[in-house]
Amino acid sequence: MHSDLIDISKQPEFQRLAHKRRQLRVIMTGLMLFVFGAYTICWAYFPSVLNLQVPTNSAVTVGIWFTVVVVVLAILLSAYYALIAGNQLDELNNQLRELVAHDD
Amino acid sequence: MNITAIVIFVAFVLTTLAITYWAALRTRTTEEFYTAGGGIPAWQNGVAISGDFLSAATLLGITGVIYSLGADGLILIAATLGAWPVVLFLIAERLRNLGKYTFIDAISFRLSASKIRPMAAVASLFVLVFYLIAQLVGAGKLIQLLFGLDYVFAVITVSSLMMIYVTFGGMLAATWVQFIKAIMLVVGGSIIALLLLFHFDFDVGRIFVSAVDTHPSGQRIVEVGGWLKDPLSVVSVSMTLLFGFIGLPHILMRLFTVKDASAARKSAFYAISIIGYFQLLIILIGFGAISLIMSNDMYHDAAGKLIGGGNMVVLHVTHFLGGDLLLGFIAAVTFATILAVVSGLTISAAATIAHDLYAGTFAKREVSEKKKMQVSKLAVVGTGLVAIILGIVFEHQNVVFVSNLAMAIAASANAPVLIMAMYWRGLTTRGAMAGILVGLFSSVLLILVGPQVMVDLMGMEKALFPYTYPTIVSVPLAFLSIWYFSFSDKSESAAREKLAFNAQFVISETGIGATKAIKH
Repeated sequence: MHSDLIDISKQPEFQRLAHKRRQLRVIMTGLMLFVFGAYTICWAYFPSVLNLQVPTNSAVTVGIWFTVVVVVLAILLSAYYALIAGNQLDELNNQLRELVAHDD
Repeated sequence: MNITAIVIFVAFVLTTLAITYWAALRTRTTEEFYTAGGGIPAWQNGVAISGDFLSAATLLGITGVIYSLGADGLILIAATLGAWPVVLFLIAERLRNLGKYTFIDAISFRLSASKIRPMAAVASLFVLVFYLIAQLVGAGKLIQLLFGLDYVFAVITVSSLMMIYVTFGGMLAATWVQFIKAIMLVVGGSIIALLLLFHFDFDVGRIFVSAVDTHPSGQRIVEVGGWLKDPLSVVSVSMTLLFGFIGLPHILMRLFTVKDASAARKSAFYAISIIGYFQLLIILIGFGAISLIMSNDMYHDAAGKLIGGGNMVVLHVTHFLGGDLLLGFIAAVTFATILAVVSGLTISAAATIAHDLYAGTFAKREVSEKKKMQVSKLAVVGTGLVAIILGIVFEHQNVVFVSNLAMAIAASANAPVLIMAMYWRGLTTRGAMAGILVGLFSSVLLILVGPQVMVDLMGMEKALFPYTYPTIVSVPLAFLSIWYFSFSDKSESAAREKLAFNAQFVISETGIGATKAIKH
């Protein structure tokens, strides 16, 4: 069992899958944390930016808009990861699993 | 007393008891008990996950915070939505492939399970029990207020129903209870938001203008900086929520109820969408409440205080917009929410006790299926009894710090070690144990010497540690100790554990071997 798994890890198909998923994870997590990090930093150090009104004199501030942007971005990134990119990687994974099953 | 509330609530209890009976017939093995046999569809599990998160604390608490602090409360919403995708991207799939019933399975996958399990289980139980106390005390007070029931009676009723659901119906019943409640909650929230928009002629901007006009702080209510005065407090709130969500055992456990990693990933996405949608409603409802309730004498007592306190904001605004009928519906949903969330916490505590502590640690021999089920059910009843006792003991305590404690421990003791176990080849048993211990002790200690205990509870002038949330120190400290004690571990077993990462990597990425282990 153990050595089988090590063999799989050397397969080019596996390496491609692992590489692609890693790349996707880094980009997606990075994007989310970048935006949320910017939000936190604005909140902590530049409250005056968040207190600007958009549109002017409307009582709706940048802080409120930014919160909505974080929420919507979270949903969009998750949708892309779970449904679009994720399904492509599932495909790769299934091919790999078939390959492994045939080898047995 | 509100007749609608009672009728809807009784209907909810009868339906869920019927479901529990149905689920009990389908729950024979421990696998069915803890994960519903991995047979829950992804979308349904997603709704249930969102239900686990959308507790009474979220519905009532965040609205209450916006009502009193205005835009400052929004950081809670942004942090929640910032954290969830990270759980999806980094945790969901690998956790499903590596674990069986609890996230501790994934941590101890290539490490010495007999050493890791008891320690991680204790940290995990701390989180679950504190969370349970916070929910129950809040619930007891709310039910007292809504239905006029005695506090102790309310706590016992909620705990007893929860024990019945979980003991007989296991995860299948707990998931259905959570699923039905989440749908009721989202429908209820949408109706309130629609009525609110209708009241303001569908002009969202007017809600905010009207809030500014009504609130005594005026313009400051849409501005930030009133609540968290210094920058590091803001960072520590963000860190607590970000890492806290990664480390909540009862939510991680839900990822095991679906058939594979792909389904776990999709259910996390459904959960994020529902939570995000609901949080947007909360923004509207929170500011709407300011403009509709704050200057309305009907919802204030003779002294001018809001009747029932900050937690009642949602219910007052519901009554204003939808009258007794809608109030009854939302009150019943709130009660259902509490029931569903405590059930989810209890099954997670039972899994930790029976699977990680009993079968995984203390039992000398292989434990039979029958024995495991007995221990699991005993653990449920035990957790329920502990919850009742602590619920009564804590009746007059400020429970905010208890739930902050739960989040802080989850963020410091659970999240760092889980992330490192999945992603860092160099992790060893020694490093993991150091990380859990340091995370647990530093977060508890810093809360004890922080403002919530020293200033709010003990009445001192100044706390030793200045921040409400200890995570700004405890999370980096946990990561650092994991790194240092793994890195300096030159033992033979450490070398073996590092080598075993290769096999773990293949299983966690492909699910090869994992599915076989779970689907017999």
